[in-house]
Amino acid sequence: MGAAERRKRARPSALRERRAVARFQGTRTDFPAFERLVDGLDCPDDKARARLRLVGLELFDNLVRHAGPLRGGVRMRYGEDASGRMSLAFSFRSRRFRAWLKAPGPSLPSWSPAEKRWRGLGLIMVRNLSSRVEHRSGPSGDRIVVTF
Amino acid sequence: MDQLNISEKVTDRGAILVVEGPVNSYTFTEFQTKVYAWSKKTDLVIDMSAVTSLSSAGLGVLMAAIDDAADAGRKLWILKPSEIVRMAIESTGFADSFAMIGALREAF
Repeated sequence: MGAAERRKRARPSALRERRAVARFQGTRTDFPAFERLVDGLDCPDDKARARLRLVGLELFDNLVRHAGPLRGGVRMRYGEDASGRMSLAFSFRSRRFRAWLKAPGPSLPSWSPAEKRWRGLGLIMVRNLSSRVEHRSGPSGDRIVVTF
Repeated sequence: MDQLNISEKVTDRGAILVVEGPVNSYTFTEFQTKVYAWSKKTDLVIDMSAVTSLSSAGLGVLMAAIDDAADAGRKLWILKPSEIVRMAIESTGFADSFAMIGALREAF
């Protein structure tokens, strides 16, 4: 029996979709509000909420760092389908972010003398805590969708 | 809890940092300053039982502090990591680098 099936059996009332939408300015000052939002979501369980929090913050931080300034802000959408599968999407508009995605960068963690810390751990965390991460761009803007 | 709070205790065997709240790229500078300051001069226990999130920025600081402590012949332990801290550490694949303990007596 898979994890989704176990969740269904444990919580028959959970057989419904859940959604939440929020809009942020797209700066680091949004992080506390993002964390409060995640705390308030009706996630399948605490581990799922922890994954959502860690992955969401890493992605949001990358957006702020590499896509900003985000004049139109960032729209966040959380969804949980009837099987308990969570997804998180960030919608925004940024040419800078598309350029950053195309630029070559270190694929492994590396020491940053300037910041005096290891860098490059975030994408490993996202990869290991989620099932799939996609970036889509089109006339309406950019979208990062992560499914768990 | 939106803010990061770090309290320091000094014992005759080393220092203890009690960290509460989120360690993310918005708050990690204070975490970095205090962890680096202590990890170079004494054995250090970081109580992370009340940490509500740990970003890659915070993990990068911890990994550097572990290296610094080893270079200086010191030790660094993570005391009672919260579930989200443990999850963040394990997600990097470097969990073996972190000395996680459940009680202070396991350190000093």
